[in-house]
Amino acid sequence: MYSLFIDTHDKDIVITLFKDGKVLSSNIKTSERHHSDYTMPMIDNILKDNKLTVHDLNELLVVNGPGSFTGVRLGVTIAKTLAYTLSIPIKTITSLETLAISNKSKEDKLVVIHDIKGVYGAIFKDDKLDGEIFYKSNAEYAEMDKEKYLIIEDETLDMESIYEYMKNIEPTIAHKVNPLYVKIIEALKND
Amino acid sequence: MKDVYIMGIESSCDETSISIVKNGCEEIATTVLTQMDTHALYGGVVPEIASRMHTENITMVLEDVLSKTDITMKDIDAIAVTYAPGLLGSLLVGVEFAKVLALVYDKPLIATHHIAGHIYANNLVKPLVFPLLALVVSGGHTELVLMKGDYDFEVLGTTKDDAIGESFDKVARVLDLPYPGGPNVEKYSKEGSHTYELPKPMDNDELNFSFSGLKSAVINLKHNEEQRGNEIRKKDLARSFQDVAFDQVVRKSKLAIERFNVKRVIVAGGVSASADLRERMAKLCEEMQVDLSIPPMRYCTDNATMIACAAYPQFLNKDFADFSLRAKSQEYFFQNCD
Repeated sequence: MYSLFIDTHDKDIVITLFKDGKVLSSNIKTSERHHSDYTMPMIDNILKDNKLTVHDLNELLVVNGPGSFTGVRLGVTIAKTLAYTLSIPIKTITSLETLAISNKSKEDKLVVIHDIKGVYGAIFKDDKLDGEIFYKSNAEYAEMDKEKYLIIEDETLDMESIYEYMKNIEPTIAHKVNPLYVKIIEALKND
Repeated sequence: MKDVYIMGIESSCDETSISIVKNGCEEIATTVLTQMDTHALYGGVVPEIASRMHTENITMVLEDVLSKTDITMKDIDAIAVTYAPGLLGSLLVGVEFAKVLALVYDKPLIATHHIAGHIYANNLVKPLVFPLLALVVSGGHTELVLMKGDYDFEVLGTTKDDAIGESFDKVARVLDLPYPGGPNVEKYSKEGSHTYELPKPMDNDELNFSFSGLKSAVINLKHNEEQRGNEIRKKDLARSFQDVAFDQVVRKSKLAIERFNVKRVIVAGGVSASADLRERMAKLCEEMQVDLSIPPMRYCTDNATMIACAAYPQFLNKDFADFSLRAKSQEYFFQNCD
């Protein structure tokens, strides 16, 4: 059973190929702006390097945000189109969960992802999301009571733990897979 | 020769569209999902909303278009996608989607320019015959182009400042007309008469255009009238502006027809949806005794059918793209053509 994991929510594009839950290959490419140049070539290459074709894939795993709107949209568009055209299951995971799972501490965690104006964040207890994913401005975040949490801002992804965690996630219908933006966009705020 | 089926994909602005076209000229099936009602709530296209809606809908648009025909993905010979110009985030969705289809179905990928689409939409009406004069009028383009063959473009004249569609949108804003601006200028102008005096731009024998002076004249006129406490007659001002703008287009087209021995005039681009411009060009071509072709209205707005048409000569030339294809918000179509 081959699973393809796609994460394009920040500047590191992560493409991982699993066989029966074990990592066959995992490629990371850092790109400030041009995810479009690299993501599909990375997917094409990781399959070729393992002498597989896209038709050998059994499952899609995709990070659906939050993070860069454009980055997430790119990964989600690719993943949902692959899942739809190949008629294989697709599961989504949030960027914040991937970071929480990859950190092995047992403490309560505050996982945050920064952008220019603020942070996306969520509290995790026993590696489970506690409450809702939020977006706070830098000023709001500065005022937040963070003392009781282990703050996780960056973490090397532990791919096999992520795979294990995703085993318990129900697949989504490909048409319904969409980015999790969290942040309300400017035009909608005036309503 | 074997029939060639191309699947076109277009997501450059606020329409998600997929179409299958046979041999670059016969529409097999098309789906266009417009977001216009959503954007109308905000008074114009909101790029982030447009991008979001493309991602939400694109696989359903594929399912829909395939449900309209017996042609299957197996029968498709190539996947063509608009890569430029347009809203970057929107283009990106179509481009990545197209790459996946090319990978999954093992088809060549073709990067097609939106303006080539508008030109080649004419093949749906009747085959292009060369040499021809193409009048390209849209939100980003105002050109008179001599075509001596497929993808052989010589720009005879272009705008020195604003594109014609851009000037319509700006004037719509000055007149406080609702979105979509350009078409509403025409709507208002229908009930107005040419009673405001506006300067005639580029009143010379050049083939270039200018619209910025005309737009400024509209702004100044409105401002001056308001200073004097006079109410602006919106319909009349729309009529006056449109007359002068289209008169310039027709004058320059006439000069180009006179100078170059063309067999055919084609009109391409979003502004070719204007009924007034269509009538004026029809009258000119009748006077000059040249054949005119303008695509039906539904092909003048953004659609993937025209993209699949324009990709056909590219397919024959094996002008294929790879998976590193990048969407571009701005790319002047004729830059490499002279």
